[in-house]
Amino acid sequence: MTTEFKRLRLTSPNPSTAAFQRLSTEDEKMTEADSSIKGKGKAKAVFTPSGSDSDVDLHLDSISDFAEHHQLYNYQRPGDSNETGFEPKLEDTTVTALQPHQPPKEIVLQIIRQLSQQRDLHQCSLVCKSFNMIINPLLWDVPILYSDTASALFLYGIVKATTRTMMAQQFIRHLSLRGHYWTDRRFLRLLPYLPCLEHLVICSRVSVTDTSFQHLPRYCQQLKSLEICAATLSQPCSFWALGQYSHQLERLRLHYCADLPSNVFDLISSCSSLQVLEIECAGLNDEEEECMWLTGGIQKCHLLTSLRIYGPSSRTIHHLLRQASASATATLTTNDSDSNSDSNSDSNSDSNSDTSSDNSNIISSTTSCWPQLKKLDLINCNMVDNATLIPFLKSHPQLQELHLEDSCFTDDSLYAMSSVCLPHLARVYFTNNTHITTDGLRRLIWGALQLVSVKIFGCSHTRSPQFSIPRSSYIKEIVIDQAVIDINRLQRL
Amino acid sequence: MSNVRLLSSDNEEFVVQKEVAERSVLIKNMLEDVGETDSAIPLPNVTAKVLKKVIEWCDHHSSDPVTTDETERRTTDIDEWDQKFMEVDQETLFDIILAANYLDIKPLLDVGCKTVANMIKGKTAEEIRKIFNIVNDFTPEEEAQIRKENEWAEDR
Repeated sequence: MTTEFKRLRLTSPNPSTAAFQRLSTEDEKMTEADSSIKGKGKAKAVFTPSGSDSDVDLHLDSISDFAEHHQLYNYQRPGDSNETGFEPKLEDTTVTALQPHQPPKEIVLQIIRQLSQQRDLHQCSLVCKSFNMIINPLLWDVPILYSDTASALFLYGIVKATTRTMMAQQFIRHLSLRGHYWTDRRFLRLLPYLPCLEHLVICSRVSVTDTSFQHLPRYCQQLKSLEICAATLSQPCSFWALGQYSHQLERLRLHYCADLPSNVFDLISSCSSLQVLEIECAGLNDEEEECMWLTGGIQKCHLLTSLRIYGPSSRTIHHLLRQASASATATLTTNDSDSNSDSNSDSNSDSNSDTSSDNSNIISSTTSCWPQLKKLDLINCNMVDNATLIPFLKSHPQLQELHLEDSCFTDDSLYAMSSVCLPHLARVYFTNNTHITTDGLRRLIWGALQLVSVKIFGCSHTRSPQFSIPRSSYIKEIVIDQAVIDINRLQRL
Repeated sequence: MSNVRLLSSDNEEFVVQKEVAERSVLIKNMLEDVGETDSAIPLPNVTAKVLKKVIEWCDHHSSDPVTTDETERRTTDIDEWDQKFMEVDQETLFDIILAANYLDIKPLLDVGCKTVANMIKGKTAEEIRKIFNIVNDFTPEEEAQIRKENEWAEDR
């Protein structure tokens, strides 16, 4: 029954055949080392899956002490990021040689890659030692924890597996925590086992607070993306830690986080790789501070490609955009009195904003706060007028998506969105603006040649367009209020 | 259209169209290296029985576009003809996979691996051992330990 594989393996040019002898001797050594460690771990840990929650934690105490002691051996330093590539590096690990009558390792790996259910991976990992070595990196890479029970078993498993092989913790790179199971105490217990974590999502109903969160950045220094939904993080220490340790962090999303500290933006601005920043909050505690910290902080994130801020007041948003373009124009010698007064004092900034639109129209600039910014998504733009928006647009020529709610700019801003100024602009979304008109819209569509989507809601002076569109236009959708315009019926010239 | 002669491990000769044979990257490279040749290409790792199946597959798929996109190749489902084609005994299935690997015919290798993966889905470790003909080299203690460590993956 085994003849077919045996014959083919003997004749195949597979390098693993040649390495067979070497690997098996290495494996014997490995097994010896394993069993000595295992002995120690086992003496301390007895697990009863049916036991109550406190039972699990009780046993975990003793195991995790042991594991923490031993993790020194394979703790991965922050610099070794290339060790954590998605492809399991089979050559580097001491893989048990496959039994001679089995299909070759790379074929097994190909087959296993087709499995998407972690339940199937789990069963495969029990098949034999060589399967186990191949599958473990895949299984632990993206653990999906469907329930509180799974979360409890996961915490138990990672502690146990780390104690035994000191490997599992290196494989975990994506993790989503959900459900009531995760409390500060359990999260703290988990953190030492996540040295290679790159993507973390903390869903709502997880009761992780500043108490444990402030330690996350120190343990997970490889973190590239962090998404938190409805968590209570109100202490500056949490965000201070992010700024201090999360230098790899590229994407930070905070959804519905109440009570963020006023200086949150200033603290996270130390995350030097930040590209995507999305914050939805209920507004910060103090409007004066909010305005100062938000503007000062976000301006330092020079790599930003996507910025979405929901929550801060209209005054803060107004100030943010003004400052972003003011810092861009500061290098130029202009007579723009407005940008000067703006940088001197926050409180006067509204009073002369209307008078300066002519000045700011002539400003053109090459440097900007966020030279890579592609996507801007803001609400509460009630105070964003031409004088604020036009200089901003001119200093951010990479913009592709513009989403502004409740604004008060006029058609002049729409003209400024033409391809001359924003050559990549593809999507616009405006709501509740009583100044822009159908004619402005027509000129936007004729001016911005890369435009794909235009959505306008609650803007009382826009009507369904009865105008023609350029033959070369890429436009695919125009929505005005609830009416979807049939692009094919518009005349193309 | 020129023909190519292929020689199986058990010395049976097959004459196939060049474009069909060139579904195999191994053969394609060989032909490019050697140039026009009258001698048969020896394939010492493939028996006549398996080579016949492989040629049948290559013939049916001779005009398929070559997909280099890794994710697209991995996610596309097996089409009906391939499903029928793969309805063979398990030993032959593994032989086809090994031959596809040796001859470097990636789409056929994918179809084979997907077929085996479908056989594994929902099976227990013991059943998978039977499919692959694998001897369990874990001690009962080791197996129990791994089962506990990975138990979170079982829960839904």
